[in-house]
Amino acid sequence: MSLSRRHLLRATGGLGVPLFLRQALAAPPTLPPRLCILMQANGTHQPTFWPSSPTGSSPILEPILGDASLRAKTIVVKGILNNQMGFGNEHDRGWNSLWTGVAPVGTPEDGFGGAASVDQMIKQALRPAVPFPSLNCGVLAADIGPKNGHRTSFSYAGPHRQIPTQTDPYRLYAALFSVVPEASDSADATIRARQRLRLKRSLLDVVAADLKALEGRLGATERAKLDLHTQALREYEQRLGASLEAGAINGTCPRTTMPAGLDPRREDDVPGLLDAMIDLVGLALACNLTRIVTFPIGHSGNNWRYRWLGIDKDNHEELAHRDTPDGSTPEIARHMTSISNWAAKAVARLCRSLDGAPDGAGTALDNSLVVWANENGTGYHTMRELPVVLLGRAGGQLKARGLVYYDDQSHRRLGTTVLNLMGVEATGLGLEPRCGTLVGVE
Amino acid sequence: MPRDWVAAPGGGLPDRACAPATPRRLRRLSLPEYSAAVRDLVGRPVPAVQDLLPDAQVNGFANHAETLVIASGRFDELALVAEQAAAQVDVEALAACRAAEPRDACATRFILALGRRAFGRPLDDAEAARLRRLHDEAVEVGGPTAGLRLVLESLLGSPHFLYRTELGGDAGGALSSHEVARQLAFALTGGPPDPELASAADRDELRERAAVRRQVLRLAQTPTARAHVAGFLRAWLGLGDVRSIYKVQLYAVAGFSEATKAALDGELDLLLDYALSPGGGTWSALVGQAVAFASKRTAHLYAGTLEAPATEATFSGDAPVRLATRPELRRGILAMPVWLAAHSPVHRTSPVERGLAVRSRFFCQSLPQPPPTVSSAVVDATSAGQTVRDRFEAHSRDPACRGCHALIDPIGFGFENMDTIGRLRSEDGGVPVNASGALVGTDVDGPFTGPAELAERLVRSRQARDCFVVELFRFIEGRDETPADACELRPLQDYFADEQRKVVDLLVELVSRGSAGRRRPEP
Repeated sequence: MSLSRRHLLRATGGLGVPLFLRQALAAPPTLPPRLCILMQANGTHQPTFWPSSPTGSSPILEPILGDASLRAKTIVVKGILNNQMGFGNEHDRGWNSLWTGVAPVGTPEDGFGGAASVDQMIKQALRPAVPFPSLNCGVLAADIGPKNGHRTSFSYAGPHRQIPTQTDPYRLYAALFSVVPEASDSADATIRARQRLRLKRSLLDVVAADLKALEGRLGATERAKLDLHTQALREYEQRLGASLEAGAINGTCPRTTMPAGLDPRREDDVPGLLDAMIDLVGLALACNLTRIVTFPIGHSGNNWRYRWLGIDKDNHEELAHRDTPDGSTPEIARHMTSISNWAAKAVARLCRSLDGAPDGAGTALDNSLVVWANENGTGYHTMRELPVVLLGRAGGQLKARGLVYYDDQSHRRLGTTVLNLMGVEATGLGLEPRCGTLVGVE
Repeated sequence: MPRDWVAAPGGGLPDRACAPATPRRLRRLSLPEYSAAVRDLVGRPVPAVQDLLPDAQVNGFANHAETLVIASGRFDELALVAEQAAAQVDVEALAACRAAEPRDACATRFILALGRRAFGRPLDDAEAARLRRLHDEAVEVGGPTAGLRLVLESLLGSPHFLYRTELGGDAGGALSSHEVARQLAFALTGGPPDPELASAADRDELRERAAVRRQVLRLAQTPTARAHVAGFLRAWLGLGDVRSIYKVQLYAVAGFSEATKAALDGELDLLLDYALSPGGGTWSALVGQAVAFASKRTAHLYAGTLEAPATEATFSGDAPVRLATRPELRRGILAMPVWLAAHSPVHRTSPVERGLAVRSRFFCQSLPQPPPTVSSAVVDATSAGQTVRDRFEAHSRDPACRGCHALIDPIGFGFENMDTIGRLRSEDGGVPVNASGALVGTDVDGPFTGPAELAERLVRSRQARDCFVVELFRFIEGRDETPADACELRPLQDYFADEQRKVVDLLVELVSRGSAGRRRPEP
């Protein structure tokens, strides 16, 4: 792969307009649907999650199903079973196997993803020509941090190769808007910026030459490490010129005002952090700064106390593990319900913002697939009937709405469905290469 | 520092002619290594390094060669650090152009000298020419200083700076002298080669085992090496981030404020440094010494366990002092409040957490996590007059739990006389505590009471020493041990079984072992 300046110009047709901007300005169907996978942890309260009928709502899902326009674009999928065995417990496998389809690797205490996750598979297959081909960001602020790093991200470039989660909304904001032009830039400033850009590209040419020289000395295993590096460089290079090359993106990407004073490590800031992150992701997806997002709402097996909901109990140890489906622990059931309901509100907030953004003949949500899932089915570590909701119409491919009910479908069919909806043809995922897709959602 | 921090230089272990088990590979610098390398290159710390997102940990160490890559996100972060460093550093001072020196000549000298330090080897002609062109382009736009800045930024972003290569040049799999130099420096000091090591590499001396040995012994004497070993010990003990230990006031866990944690963090540094100091530095000094470092802020955690009770007169100001502990109550690092607190949940003790840490980190035995049907409710359902021990003993009764917990909990029970922040206690929930524990499945099996008696067993356990050798190996090599490594691990374990051996001696032998300078072909 050549990374020279000349190559880049050729790739962009020599017009000086980066490819992703030209595509963004062209008709939307040239791009696959947008994808956003949000993962919640510690299961849910099953009796208040599932709608009582195919067209009904539920206490937890009310923020989504109670909104008529969202409801028309929502499928609640009941019956996904994560059957992965191997390292770690259900927090680890629910987190690291759901989207890789294979057992974790490492040691029982450090079970990392054992293969690329679907988001990274899609990115590798499609290489979406947008400034951020994929984004892994979310909220992990916690009084009690995860004991191990493998619980902080479910996005993997390959076995063990975890993509770190960006949890600082200010840094995410700075990164996203670094590619959006300032309306107030003077002609002088623009000239200086162009000079800086030219130098930066020359610098990247030098780095790329170093990469190429090093690559030539490696066998296949080690070259895979540098392939990731080279690709990251290319993505960075594509972003560089974006803020200078076209004004059109500005119209659909207004600089939002960020709330001040949020600490990405402070648990009591979680509500503010979540809103800020969700809004940034909604914006970034709507105006094609990115097309693929993975988003942990808390780390795997987190111990949030949900003081902001008036709960103040360790949701993992004191609630999830002690929840029962039979009504014998009503206070815990009430708390578990309000926790999942709170997450549903965040998902609804994201989808409403996508639904408010015009995109082609419809809205950005119509051309998106938003998946909200959970590492566990219940709080007490079962992996049957994982709470899964598909929102958006994936460019018109999703037709069903309301509750779709299956009898124990492998979780790999969910991943396979996501791959195919995103335009990556797949017959299966991970350990089940022929598991097929979920029937009845399209 | 006195020479005897390294005890037994000698000729080292004989080369057993083991086939190299480490494959040809690239190792991306870990974040601490990167931080040290940036600081070394630009001559000052760069604040942006602190903002880098953490790397994944494997076996508790965030330096696993398979895990460390530069994929999406990380590239941007590193580019930002390079840009900021280049903008903040006084590059003219770094270049130190001489008065009579033409600017052109100075720029060339700067490129070659800085490049050599960044890559740990001389630049080849093509590399030098590329940097020269980049420099000249920047000079045209922004003047002479801009040229130097862009060269620095480019070097900081180069894969030759960001990775250590272990590729070798010849068919026999021998690393180059320059590769060996970087390997030694990062293994022993956590940073890039110093001038003396770099010169030895330039003279191509490091393909000789004797020359390597001399450098290893020299580097092992440095204060940087001692701090680096202390950093390993922290990671091994699960004490990398003392300030993140969390306790909930709600559960009446008082006396564990942010200031207390900050003090504990500093006192841990002192304790580790003391344990590694000349005269100490052995396995038994590490796990069996009846010594604590405490200050006004932390003295309350040691109440009842010091030889002479701490009073106003014990401390002057906030400074920590070294105190003797009562050896029947506190001996070794596992009896220190900082370890006891780090291995307890927010509100109570956990025989499982403490027991599991001992089993995995001291006996290298990993156990699976609980099966799906098990709820921790069994240990959290409180009723009056029940101790933590009572509740956890449910494990040994439940057949679903017994298999694993019979190996874990009895170790943890032995810590029950120490509360969730490591204070000595005689009661738990109004009931007298029972701190009788037991080791099973080890070479030092049998009953013990309290962490001090456990320490005695750890001091004499060959299995625990063997495990420590494996832990150090994982950290230094950035990979898991394989069966092929036994050829060299066994002699190292035999070596460390000798009571006189110091941790740093073990490091010396590990780093200079026979196959260290060779690689097997990539799988």
